[in-house]
Amino acid sequence: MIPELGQVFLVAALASALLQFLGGISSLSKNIPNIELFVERTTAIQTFFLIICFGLLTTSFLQDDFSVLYVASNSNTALPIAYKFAAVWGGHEGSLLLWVLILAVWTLFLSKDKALKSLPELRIQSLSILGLISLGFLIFILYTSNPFERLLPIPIQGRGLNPLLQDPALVIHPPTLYAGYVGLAVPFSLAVASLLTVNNHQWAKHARSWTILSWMFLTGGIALGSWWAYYELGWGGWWFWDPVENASLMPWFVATALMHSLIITEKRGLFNGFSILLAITAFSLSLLGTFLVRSGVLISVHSFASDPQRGLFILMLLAFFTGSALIIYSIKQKKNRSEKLHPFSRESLLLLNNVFLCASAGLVLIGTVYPLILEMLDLGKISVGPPYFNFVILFPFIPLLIFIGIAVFSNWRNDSKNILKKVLPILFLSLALGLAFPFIYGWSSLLTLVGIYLALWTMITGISPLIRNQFSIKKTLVFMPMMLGHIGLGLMILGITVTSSYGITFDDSMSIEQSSRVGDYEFKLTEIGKRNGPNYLAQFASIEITKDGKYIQTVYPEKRVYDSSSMAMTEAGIEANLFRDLFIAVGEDIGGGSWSMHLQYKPLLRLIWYGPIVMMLGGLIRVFLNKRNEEAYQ
Amino acid sequence: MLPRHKRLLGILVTLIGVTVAITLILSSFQDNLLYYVTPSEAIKKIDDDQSKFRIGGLVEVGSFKRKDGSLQSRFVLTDGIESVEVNYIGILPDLFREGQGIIVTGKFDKMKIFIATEVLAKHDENYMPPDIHALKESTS
Repeated sequence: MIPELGQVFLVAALASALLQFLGGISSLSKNIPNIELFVERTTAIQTFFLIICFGLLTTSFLQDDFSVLYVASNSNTALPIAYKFAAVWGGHEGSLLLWVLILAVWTLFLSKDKALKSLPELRIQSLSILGLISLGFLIFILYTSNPFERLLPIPIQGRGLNPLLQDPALVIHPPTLYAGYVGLAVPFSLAVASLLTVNNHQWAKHARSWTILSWMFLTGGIALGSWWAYYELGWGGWWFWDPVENASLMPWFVATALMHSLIITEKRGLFNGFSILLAITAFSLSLLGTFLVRSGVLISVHSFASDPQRGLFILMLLAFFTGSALIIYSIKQKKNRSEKLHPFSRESLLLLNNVFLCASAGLVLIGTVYPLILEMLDLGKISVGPPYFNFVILFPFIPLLIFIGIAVFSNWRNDSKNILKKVLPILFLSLALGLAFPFIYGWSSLLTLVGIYLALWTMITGISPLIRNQFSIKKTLVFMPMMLGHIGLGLMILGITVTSSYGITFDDSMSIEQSSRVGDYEFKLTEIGKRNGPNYLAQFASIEITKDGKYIQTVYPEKRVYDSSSMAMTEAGIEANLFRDLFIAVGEDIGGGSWSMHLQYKPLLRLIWYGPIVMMLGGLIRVFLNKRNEEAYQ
Repeated sequence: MLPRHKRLLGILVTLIGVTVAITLILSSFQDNLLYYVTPSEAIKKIDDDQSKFRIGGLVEVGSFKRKDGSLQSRFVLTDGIESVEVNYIGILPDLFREGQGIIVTGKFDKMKIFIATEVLAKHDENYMPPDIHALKESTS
């Protein structure tokens, strides 16, 4: 009964999405009384129906209703209850339902945005466009990926959730990332709605907070995914340039550019067209990400059963939304009023860095999509290795980081006077501080030093408004989002540089009472044993870590075999503090009483995830505390 | 310098910079392309001038060898027609086992043994390199 009810509400949500779209779009040509209220109501109703749908699917999971195909494929009775919730979005169908649900929630929040009520036309059309996007995905769900499909005969037991996904970080990673992906639909809809209606730069002011909000979720989602990959996938890497990772990074680059471009469009009314294009690109890349992850063209942790029909459908949605948005842009966009730009004015520097961010997205796109296209055309199978990405990303990023610091000191409109004079002390300060690193860690390479300088430069220029205002928090509150954003970025760059340059990674064979040396640390294997978990059997090692004979910690890396599958999972033993991570993973029994072990020493690794947290904090302050503050400052 | 000359110089420098960057990027792209082949195709490449590439195939049942306590392992990768002997030093992935589809990255040495620097088994017990999957379907 419950699944059928779910089905009904899914269709009902589709109907409301259709009305939401049609109502909005029909008011474009003629004046219909009360249409604003109509669109607002259908939005609320659609969201309400989708929440019910999602609730019903969750109920099926909690009741272990294996007559539902999706439940049977992604859960079983032994699954701990928290993971039954997570299993709702653990597979393809449920994760798409989550996708539309999150879209509906974003739409609902947009419809409650009080400030937007002053521009009814823009408001109606953007809600209508969001309704259309929701409509497309609801058809997709009902047509190819129905989570409520029944299974006959009813199995006694379900297949269980993929053991890789049975992890706390993985419970929140998909919703966070999705919230970011889908949130980019909001600036997209505002940009296109603006083209269709008022056709000026007013949308930018409203799109900014929404962009920052979804950018925060995207940042958090990517960081969570990286953290999870580090401790769960087994081998202690934090970024693999895997196509699914790239799929989330590309929209992040463009969303970051959009966030900054909207500042110029809002404050100066400039680059309106560029901002619109960025909004379209950001959402298109989100859709591309959904396609890459959900279509099964990639074989990875994230892809489930591959069904060519699904891939084709998402590709069609992508082509439709991007294509029509670009057509509307080419017809409606008015020529920007030209204005002479001073090369060192804030708008020029922001523009320059946005170009670098787009270039980064482009370079990642080439490396990600080229192998897929080649394979589709049957020209051979290739993959693009991480060295490509690691190398080419430096080209846009080194100048980007240089200009970030300069842009902080620049002014709107004018070439800032004596910008060099203001910047020089900080430059020398970061050069001096940067020299400390080779002393602590030893000499690595010139590139390492450049990375450290740029990280410090980004951080110190980021803090500079505080110094300039004699450390008055009140006076600097308005700069806080920028400061935290840049400091977070600097921390992350520092973490990446130091970890990649000074980290130690190797495999070793170890037997009981034998030690292995990793940098200054001694890892000693003291015991190998077995342990029973709730739905798995684990082989664990106990490893004593010492430094210069001083005991630090004992860690227990495990190798788990889950009941529901024969697949072994590696749980690493990690001893971490702010300054370094010590990592050990059990390989296998290699005979003769020895085990293969994977050992790592990674200095400043944590900064790679703390950086994004600081950045998100900046966004949080901007969206929830500073909006009024900033307006007062204008 | 006249302002016009200054601008000209600026454009010139930018152009040169962009050209150099694009050249480096393209060459890096070329250098880091990993071709993916089956064991049958790999056999043909033995005598070629080699850069790293990938072979996808099944680990032949009964071919896995390892000296006790050593990280070095040997196994044979096959597509049912040809097979390649692989040597690897390091930890094998969790899903590595005989009969399983895997991917190795590396190149041949002078003894015609494939020296792998990386062994991948995907995170799905039902995963099989696509070509092998097609092969299995056609033979069974």
